[in-house]
Amino acid sequence: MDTNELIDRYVNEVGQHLPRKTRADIEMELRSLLLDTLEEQSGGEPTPKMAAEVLREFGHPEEIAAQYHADEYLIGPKLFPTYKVVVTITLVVIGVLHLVGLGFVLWQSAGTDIIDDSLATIFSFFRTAVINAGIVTLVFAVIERVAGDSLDVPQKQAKTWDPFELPPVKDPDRINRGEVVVEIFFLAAFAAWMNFFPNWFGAANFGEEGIFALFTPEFIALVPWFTASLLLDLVLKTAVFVQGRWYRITRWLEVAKDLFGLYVAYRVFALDEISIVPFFTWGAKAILAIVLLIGTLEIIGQLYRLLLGRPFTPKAFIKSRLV
Amino acid sequence: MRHMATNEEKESLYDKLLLELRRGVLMLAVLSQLQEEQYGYSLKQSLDEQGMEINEGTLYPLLRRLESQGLLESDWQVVDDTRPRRYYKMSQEGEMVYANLVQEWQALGVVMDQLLGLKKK
Repeated sequence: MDTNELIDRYVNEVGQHLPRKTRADIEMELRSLLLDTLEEQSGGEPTPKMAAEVLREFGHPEEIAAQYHADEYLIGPKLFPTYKVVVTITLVVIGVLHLVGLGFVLWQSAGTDIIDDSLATIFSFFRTAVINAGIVTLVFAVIERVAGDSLDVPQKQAKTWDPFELPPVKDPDRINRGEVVVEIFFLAAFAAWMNFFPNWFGAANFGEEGIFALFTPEFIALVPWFTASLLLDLVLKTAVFVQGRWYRITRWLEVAKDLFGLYVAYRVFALDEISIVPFFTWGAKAILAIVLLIGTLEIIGQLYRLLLGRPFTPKAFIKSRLV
Repeated sequence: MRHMATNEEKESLYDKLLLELRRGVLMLAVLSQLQEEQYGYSLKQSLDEQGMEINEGTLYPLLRRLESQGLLESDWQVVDDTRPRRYYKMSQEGEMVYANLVQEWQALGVVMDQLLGLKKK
């Protein structure tokens, strides 16, 4: 192999690890630099051995290509904490759903195939977990590309901020812009999923027996109500994102949105059948009962805080009554 | 509990710290040599000759970074019938930034000498 061939191969290899936009230019410059160095070090009569020595001095192709990249992140340090939380929640939800599913299968088969069913659930859990963690990662990578810069503090604000205006510790009105962007994205994705891909929404594949919708038509008829509730939330979160924190007016709107959400949840709860599988109807009703209870308590807490201007702390409230 | 660092880990940590320490200094050293236009290899030579050794894999990407930040400008030239070479020179903005950085460097040098006990107060 002659010196030119060696240099061509090296330059080409570095180019493979460079972005297309700058590749040709960097390759041309690198070739010129290598030839200069080689010419100088060999006194004008380069041998392949000398060329190899020069290439070794320059460094491994991947190493040198990496030096030409600026700091690039798939998910930057501003979004990473939120990413970790979302991945954890996703995995926990998948885990819980699989446990519920396993319970359902064992209940149907009266526990005759407990080992097979458990193994199938474990495999399914890992498969689903990997796929969903991958999807979450992709979504965050897209958010990083699209909204990464807007997560920075605007330059004007960074220069003129007033330490006296720092929010009090544990200020519930403070927001994390990264988290809000993620919430907005998932709200939009969920609304789109329910409305534009109804076939994927609540269908179960029973192999040869075909695909069955898990939900009853009565439940499906409530999808527009769900969508309205999601859109209300989406508009509100966008407003909060723009304003940078919760204000009194957005808090009142939040109460209105939550009341509407509770109403929709109640309408689902009041249906005779949510799913064609009775077990799922019971499960869904149990979860909805908890959601309705917690939701009602939350609204009471919000109203208390809005009207009296201090946080709702049930423990302290009860204590003060007892004293 | 912290585990005991192996010699290899200590060396790698030292290399990292040294790299961090040199990063800013190299930028200033490169700017200092580009008041006149130079191509990559001649710049490396002139830095080497003055005792500032710098690896090719660090120097050439640094030149492009400084150019993308507007501190350098470059063009391809053919001088004395040789092959085309990319020549770099400080831009006007680069010269302003460089002058300020040199002042900062002098002030830092005084403070650091004191802090490190290299010079009596």
